[in-house]
Amino acid sequence: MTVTAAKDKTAVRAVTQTKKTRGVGENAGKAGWLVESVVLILCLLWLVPTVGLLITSIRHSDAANSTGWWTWFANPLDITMQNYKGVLTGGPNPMGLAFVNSLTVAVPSTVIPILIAAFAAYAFTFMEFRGRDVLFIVVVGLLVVPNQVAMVPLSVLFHN
Amino acid sequence: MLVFWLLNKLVEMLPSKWETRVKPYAFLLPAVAAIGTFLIYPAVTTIYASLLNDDSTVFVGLKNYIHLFGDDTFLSALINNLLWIVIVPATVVAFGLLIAMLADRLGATKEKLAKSVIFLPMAISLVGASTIWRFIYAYMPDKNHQIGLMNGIVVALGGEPQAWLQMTTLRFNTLLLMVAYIWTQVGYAMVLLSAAIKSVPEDTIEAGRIDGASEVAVFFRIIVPQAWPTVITVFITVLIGVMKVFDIVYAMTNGNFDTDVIGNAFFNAMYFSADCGTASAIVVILMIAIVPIMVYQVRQFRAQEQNG
Repeated sequence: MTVTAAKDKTAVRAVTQTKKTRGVGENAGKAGWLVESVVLILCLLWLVPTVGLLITSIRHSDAANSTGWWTWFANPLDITMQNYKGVLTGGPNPMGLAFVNSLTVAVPSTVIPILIAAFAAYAFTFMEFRGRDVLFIVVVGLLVVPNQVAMVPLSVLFHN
Repeated sequence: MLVFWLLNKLVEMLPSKWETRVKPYAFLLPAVAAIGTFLIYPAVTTIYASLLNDDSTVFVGLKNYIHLFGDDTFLSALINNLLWIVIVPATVVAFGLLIAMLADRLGATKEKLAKSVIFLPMAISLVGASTIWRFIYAYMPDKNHQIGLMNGIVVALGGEPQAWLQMTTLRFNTLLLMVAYIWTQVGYAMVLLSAAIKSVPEDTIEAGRIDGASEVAVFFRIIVPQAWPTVITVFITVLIGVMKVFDIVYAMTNGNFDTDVIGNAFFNAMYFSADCGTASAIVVILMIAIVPIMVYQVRQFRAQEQNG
């Protein structure tokens, strides 16, 4: 009898506890105002630098060079698209070419390593062969080698 | 793709006994070749070049290293790197955990929104981030024409504007550079940690609560231990990134005012002083510093292999 009573008690406590507390998974969405405001403050802190940049980008250059971007809020109609126009079309190096260059770098440097890695991973996972462990350790260990290591010899290599 | 197809065909033409033996190597060949050319070959050449003089013509032994360790600016760069290592990964993981945990308690829409905002800086290149933060730290001698947010606040509160990035006291400017780096990295930590927190089994948390554990205890003694492997992964990844840190320092101060780090010291030795020997020696020092992480990483992988 006492055992069942104790069990009932725990069950009741469990129910009340879950109701009171909030947390992961199914309890999501029950955040108190404290949690919400902390997240809000963090998000604002994280956004301020980017927003500052955005506002600076639509201000006239003399205004941007003499007053802080926050002064823009006093006169929000004073905006210009001249900066964007200049960057995209004007000057000796219009940005259009930069986009193309970025794409030529980004696409192969994403696809090729994934392809090579997929084949290597397949071999490591499904095939047994001599030197498997040693090779694997070499690959994993070399993950941390800094990029700078490759800069000097490779520039020489490509130069020749 | 074509290369693999050809390799595969070639191997299949071999007698079947040989086919199974050779196939794994054929699959690994491109990866090993790539690692060979882009990592091992350069590493060996770099070690060799570090023993040569500035244009790699005369063998000078350990002279480059002796010179470096007698150089105050390089020692200062080492101290800065150490500070970066001590402060940045831990802070990134702490912020990542905090935001992942708090955002997890919001409703689905709010959670997505909050996470997107925190993740946003990840999409900005480090040079871009440097530009953004240079705006924040910007300094104008004329008190009433501040364009930097930090000086704007200081002046609004009645203070004098400061040249933040030149404040060497307690290496305050290095701390400011770290803030910019942390700002970009927390999003990455948060995404991975959030996934780890969500995969913590609900019943273990429930069990903890039934036993009367406080929310803080549930977090530190149930959620964090189960998400620990992810915490370690994030920590190591950020740590490796921090050891190689270059862009932020280069774009914001170029290592002036005592903010130099190994990555930037290398760049200046290589392209500014055109001293191949010293540059290589700096890289070798960096490689040696990274060896413990390498060992740890290999051990971690081995442990995972055995478990899985």
